[in-house]
Amino acid sequence: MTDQLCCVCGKPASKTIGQRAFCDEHYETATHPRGGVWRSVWGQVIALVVFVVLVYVAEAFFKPVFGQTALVLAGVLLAVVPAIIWLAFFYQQDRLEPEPKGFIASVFILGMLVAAAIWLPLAENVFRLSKWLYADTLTTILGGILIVGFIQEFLKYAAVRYSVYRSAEFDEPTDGIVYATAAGLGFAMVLNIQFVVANGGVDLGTGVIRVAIVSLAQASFAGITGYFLGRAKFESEPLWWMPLGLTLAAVLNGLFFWLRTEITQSTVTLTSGGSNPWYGLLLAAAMAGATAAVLAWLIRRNIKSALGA
Amino acid sequence: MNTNTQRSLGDRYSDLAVIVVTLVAVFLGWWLMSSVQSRSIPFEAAGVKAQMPAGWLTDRADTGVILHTKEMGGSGFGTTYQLEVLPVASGSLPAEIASLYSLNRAKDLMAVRVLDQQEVSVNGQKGYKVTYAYVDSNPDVTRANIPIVVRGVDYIFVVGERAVVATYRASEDNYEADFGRFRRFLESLNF
Repeated sequence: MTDQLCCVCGKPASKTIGQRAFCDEHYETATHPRGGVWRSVWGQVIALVVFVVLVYVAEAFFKPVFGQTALVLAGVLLAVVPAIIWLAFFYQQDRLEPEPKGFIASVFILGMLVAAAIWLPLAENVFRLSKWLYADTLTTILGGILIVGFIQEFLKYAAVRYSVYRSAEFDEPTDGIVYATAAGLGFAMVLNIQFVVANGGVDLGTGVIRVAIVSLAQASFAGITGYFLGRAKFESEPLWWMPLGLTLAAVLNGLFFWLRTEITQSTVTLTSGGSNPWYGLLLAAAMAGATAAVLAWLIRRNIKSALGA
Repeated sequence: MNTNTQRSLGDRYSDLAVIVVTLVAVFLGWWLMSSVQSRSIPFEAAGVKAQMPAGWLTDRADTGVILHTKEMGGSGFGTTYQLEVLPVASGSLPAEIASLYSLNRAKDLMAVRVLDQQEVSVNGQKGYKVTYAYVDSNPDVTRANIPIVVRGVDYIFVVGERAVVATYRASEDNYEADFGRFRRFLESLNF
């Protein structure tokens, strides 16, 4: 065993999980269940839904009248809230072994950068999605998976994989989910700000629902890629493991994109019509909760399996 | 950042596999985009045949206008194709029809500027091409949109005692990117 090095810190290894070698310290962290992460995810989902309801009710009750600049500023503020809620829950729940704030912030900013510098120009200038993606249902689903899903998920994967992944701070399988969620929330924030600015501000009630949907969805898909990343680092996985994780996240991204459009569209009548964004929020919250539950179960099962081996 | 530099060969192959899978997906997505954007349906009216874009919104035509179709997706000025058939005196030249057309354009459109005009040949049919720009102001008073600069091009062909005018208009942002599809529409014209 002494000829092997810990796959996290490079020190002499004393234990193994699968074919990966660990020192004592990182063997402990690699088999640590870390329930605070899951509590922060569920806390975020609940807090975000409560926040949306509060803003919606306040908007309906007070009916504030904003100028265009104030609407843009209010929209931008709304776009920042999901990340603040997640960070608040995460650090509150993760006080015993907190991830370095600088690393979380760096990955969050990387998520923002890849969204602003790569995804938005690709979507608007190269693929010009709004011109063809909604031609028919099959095109929406396939284009949503192949273009939107794969590119978005690859960018969030790259934000983690080529930054913090090789750091010694990435020392638990759950860290993949934590950092990928941070990247996803940074990515979502830019999408939301771009939407607000492009529309010259948004109606607060519907705007806050959209912000919450995009944030929950982007964080959930990134969380899936993060789970696969975490396993890839701490267990010896086959070659298809990481492509499978990215494909799964991309397919869910594309299907969510289509399903959200389908369920939020209501019948147009002479007196009412348009869409009901609440269904989209319910879908996003259910998906985020289910994703967190499945990932938490998988992580616990993996730890049990590693400890039993 | 304390970085662990120990990377297995498997990690590197895994990286490569992720990139390859993503590139394959994006390539397939590009192919899907191309196939959707080249979908067309046959059109025929007043002895003029063409392959017009599928899924576009076709308006009721004005007098002489046999086709006026507009792209539905996107926001702002929707890319528009128009076909118009005009009766002309026998022996009229396309350049003469272009002058007449320019006068009408100046009446109907706001701040028109002719950018270029030249003789062209499309599928062996000689014609005249006029490129211009104008300002499109949304007449919907409920939406305070900033007027958009639109670029347009008219292809004018004279066949016997009638002229066929194929028009392409798109916002300045989309003009170049959408022109390839119009070119295919133009080449599909048969009259």
